[in-house]
Amino acid sequence: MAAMQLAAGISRDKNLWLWRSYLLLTLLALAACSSSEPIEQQSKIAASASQTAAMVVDAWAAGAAPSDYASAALQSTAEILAEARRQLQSDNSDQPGERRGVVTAIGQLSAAARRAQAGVEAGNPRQVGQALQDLRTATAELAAYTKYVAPKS
Amino acid sequence: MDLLRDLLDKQVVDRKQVKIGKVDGLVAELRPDKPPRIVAIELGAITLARRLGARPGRWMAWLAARLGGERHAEPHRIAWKKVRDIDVDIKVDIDVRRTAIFDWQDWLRDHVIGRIPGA
Amino acid sequence: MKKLVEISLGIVTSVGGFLEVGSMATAAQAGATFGFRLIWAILLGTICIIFLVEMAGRFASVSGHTIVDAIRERFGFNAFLWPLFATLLVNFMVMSAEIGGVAIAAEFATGIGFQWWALPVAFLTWLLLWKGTFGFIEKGVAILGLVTLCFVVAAVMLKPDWKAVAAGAIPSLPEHDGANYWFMAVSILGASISPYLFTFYSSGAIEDHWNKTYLGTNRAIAGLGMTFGGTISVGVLIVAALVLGAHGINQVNDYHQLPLLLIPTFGFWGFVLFIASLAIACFGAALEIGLQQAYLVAQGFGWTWGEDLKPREDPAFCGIYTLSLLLAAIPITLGLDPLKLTIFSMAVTAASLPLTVVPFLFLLNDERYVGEHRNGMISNAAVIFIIALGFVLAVVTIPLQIFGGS
Repeated sequence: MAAMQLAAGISRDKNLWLWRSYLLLTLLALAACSSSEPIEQQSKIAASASQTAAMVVDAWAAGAAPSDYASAALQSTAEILAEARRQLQSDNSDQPGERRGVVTAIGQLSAAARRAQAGVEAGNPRQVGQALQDLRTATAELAAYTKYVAPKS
Repeated sequence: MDLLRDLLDKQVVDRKQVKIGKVDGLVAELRPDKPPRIVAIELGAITLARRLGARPGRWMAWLAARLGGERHAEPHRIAWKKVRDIDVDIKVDIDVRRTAIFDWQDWLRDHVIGRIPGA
Repeated sequence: MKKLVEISLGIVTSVGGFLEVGSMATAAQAGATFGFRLIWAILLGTICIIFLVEMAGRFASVSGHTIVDAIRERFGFNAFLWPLFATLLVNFMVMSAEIGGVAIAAEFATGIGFQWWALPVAFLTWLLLWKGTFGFIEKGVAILGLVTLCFVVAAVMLKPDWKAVAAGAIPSLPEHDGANYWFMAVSILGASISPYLFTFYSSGAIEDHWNKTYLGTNRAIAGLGMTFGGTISVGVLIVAALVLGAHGINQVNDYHQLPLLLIPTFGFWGFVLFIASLAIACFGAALEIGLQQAYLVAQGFGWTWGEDLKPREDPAFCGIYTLSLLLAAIPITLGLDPLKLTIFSMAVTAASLPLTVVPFLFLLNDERYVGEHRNGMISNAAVIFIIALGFVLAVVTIPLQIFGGS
């Protein structure tokens, strides 16, 4: 009996090129690039993180957030701030004065978030309140410096 | 009937309405001076791998023979005369339990799934 | 009367399917960073998913085929492999994100790190699939999912400026962060138009034995259910804009920020409600995606499938969801950030859309499947629009996120 495989290659012509070219286009597009200004970006992240820390502290003080959560959130925020600071220190370009101000302010924010975390863990509202004050001060400082560094927006 | 459009890749169910697979391939007989005639449908991983190319087909046949023994070195074939009805599904007059098609599912049931409590 | 019960149940079910970690996270991010300006993306995504779900249900009711089954049959095995692998991969990432969502809810509730919860969550999901029936899972998820309505309540209680909300429903160009804006729009669309939603829906129609008499029911469920789900997403966005955005929290890049959403409105209960919403929505989605992975492979290869069968009767089907759940728990167990994974997988979902949606164009116009119930002009236009949308947005914006330094 002369039996024969018909199956192989049958669906070759069923729109395969469509899937292939789509994949190729996606990959090509991935090779494209864009840019962003690191200091502006990092200041934004820092400002947002500092407000997060303040809001967490407020919620904890009002009894609306349990200590476990508040402490984890503050720790995470402190880490984000420390990372933003590290990013800014590592890439060295011009504008040294204002940049240094931003870096210092972010460092203070990170330290204040750490103190708030310690206060929450110790169940010490006074310490937490003090840390909140420090957070607010450093946030204002950061905002002032950011205005110089990134005049737009 | 357009064979490739209306047969290939359709669901196959056995006598007891068990879903046993898809029509992964067709086997045709070439006759001198007459149009070719379908003699069987094929199911299983080897047939599918052959559709991707000759080399994947050989690999899959080797793998199937290694895992399942000689019984699995060739694709599963169901003779065309066993086909009863072609509708949403293709009904064939066989009992899947008497074939080797579900050997691997039986293995999976006996060695893995069946051993988990509650199966 | 029976139909009415079915419709209302279906609507509630779609809410369970619609709202998951992806829509919550993307809506929260968009609201915090851009206020009400991205509401249009949720509306657009909701309209798209209504069309796709309606088609998937109509196709299954009329032809007796699920979408996956028909893709294999209509396009052949070789072409089927592309959407198969794309969907398996996207589903794997989304399922991992959902497991991560339940895991962070568990972390908030207990203080034990989310990594430790991934495997228990995967196990619990598996147990329900192993022991439960389709109806039980569908209805259970649906009724518990109603807790997510708390976002809509919160949005109303915060008294938003409804004029501004309405203005956000109209697409506008961003004043700042163009790349970020478009990336978020893509993520929102990816979160709304989840391929698992409509492929799952077509399998559900077959599992529930739908036929041509269900076409009206199908239309009602698709339209009302997805609108309901979209409303909750808009609720999340409004709350995020008025709570996070108004407090100067413009960057949501840490999952710890999310419970803050409901605290100003409901106090400690807000914290509890958030955890419940996140856990239930993500758990429901993980269940559905687990089933969907198994449907996908079993239907593609023609094996026995069905959630109502005992595992003994469809060992391959059960094997697939067991394996997928186990694999999806691994990235979270290794400590991969669930929020980052979520946002990334939503964008990848959007990019994969053409692969899963192009077949609709062929299947819903093929009279051998749907006969007289084939697509009209509007439905076809919607499909083409979704394909173009997925293609353009994904190709343009994913590189922005990857190389733009987030």
